[in-house]
Amino acid sequence: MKEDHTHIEHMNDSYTDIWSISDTDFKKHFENIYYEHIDSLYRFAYFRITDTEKATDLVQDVFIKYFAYLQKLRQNREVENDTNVDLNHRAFLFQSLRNAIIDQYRLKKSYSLDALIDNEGYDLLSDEDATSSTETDISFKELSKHIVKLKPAHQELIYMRYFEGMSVTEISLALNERENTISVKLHRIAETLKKNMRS
Amino acid sequence: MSKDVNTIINTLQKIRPNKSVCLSDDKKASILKTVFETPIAKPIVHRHTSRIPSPFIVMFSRYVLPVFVLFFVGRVFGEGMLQKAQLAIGNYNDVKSEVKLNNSLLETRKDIVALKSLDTLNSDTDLAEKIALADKVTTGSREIRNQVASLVKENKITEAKQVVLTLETALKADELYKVATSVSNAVFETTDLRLELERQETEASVSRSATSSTSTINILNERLSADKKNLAKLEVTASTTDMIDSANKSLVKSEEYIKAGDVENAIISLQAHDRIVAELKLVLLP
Repeated sequence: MKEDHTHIEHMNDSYTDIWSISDTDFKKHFENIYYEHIDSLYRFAYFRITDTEKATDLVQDVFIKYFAYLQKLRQNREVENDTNVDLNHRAFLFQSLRNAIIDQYRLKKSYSLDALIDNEGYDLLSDEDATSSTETDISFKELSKHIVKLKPAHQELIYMRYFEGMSVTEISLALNERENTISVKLHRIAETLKKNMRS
Repeated sequence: MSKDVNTIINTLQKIRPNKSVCLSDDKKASILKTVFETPIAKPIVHRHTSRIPSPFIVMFSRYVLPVFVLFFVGRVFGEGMLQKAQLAIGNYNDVKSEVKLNNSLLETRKDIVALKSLDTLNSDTDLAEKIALADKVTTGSREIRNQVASLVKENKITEAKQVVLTLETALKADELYKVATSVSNAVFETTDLRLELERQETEASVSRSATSSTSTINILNERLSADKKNLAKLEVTASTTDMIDSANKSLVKSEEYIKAGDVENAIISLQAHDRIVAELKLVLLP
């Protein structure tokens, strides 16, 4: 599994300092991280492979590895007496999961965002927002029809940025790309969608 | 239907996941339990039981080495074949030249016999025929001498000497040299050739045994004693003493040289003696 976590460690994170807490507290802290991210990770895996069993296994593997990684990191920090490291758990977990999927399935086929949409895994934020969208004549169903026609890599970006609400920084860390590149790509994807919807 | 990019982005930003595609609480709890219970895996160190050869060695052994092996095997095998072929060609040429030589000898002998039969008839009418046969004998003996020269070139001196001796004997037989001048010339030339061949043969034997001077001198001594015996026989029958005297002088000189250890001059003296004896034998023929 490809894991380039070096620069992820230097991200600012609002979570508890995992270096100075006891093992029990660390487990509780990890539990929080787990419950916070498991749904989005599972959806991401399902979105990529459309298989509930395999998606569950992959997510479990990723959490096992991440827990082991954090424990190892804690031990090393104790030895080196250096606790000045923050982690971006979300970016790290998404990157690990993405690499695991690529390694295991060597996915070539198109992403199944449509499967997620068909399963009604996503909806608009509120009724009020839904009304506003009607005003601008864009329905979620119509937009999703055009999204599934995009390149797989673009679909992935749309998924991370808008469906899962990841920040550009988090996406750049997860995909190992510069933030500027991600921003430009997102803007171009929006333009492509606009063109497609016009035609 | 014209849509603004911002409108699309706004719409996308309003999309949020609901709980329909999620794991159940039990499943989540069981996964977490598994995560905590799984022991930390030690990093796997890959140790290769056998060393993997480098791509260079693989390519070298696959493409370059067979070429070298083929080249080497081909060269050794080819050299062997070439030697065999050369030997076969050499043998074939030897046999061919031998057959040719024998045929020439046979022809010349026939001519000599015919010449002799004509001479015994002693008829003047056959003079033209006699001359023609004499010419034929001369030409035949010249051909044989040429072939002998080619044998000498191949360093087959002993064989060449045997052929010349046969020719000489045939030509000298029954006073044939008295039949025509050309035949007598042929006899002299053949004798010269034989003597030259004998000289070469002696030189070759001397050079072969050059490593041991004692053995060379022994050979010369043996030859000297044999020559002395022959000369003694000739002295009994010879009517002229001049040639025997000069032959004797040559033998004495040769003996002196041998005693002094001068092998080269000893051989030259012996050869001079041989020539005189050969001429004497020709004169003494009945």
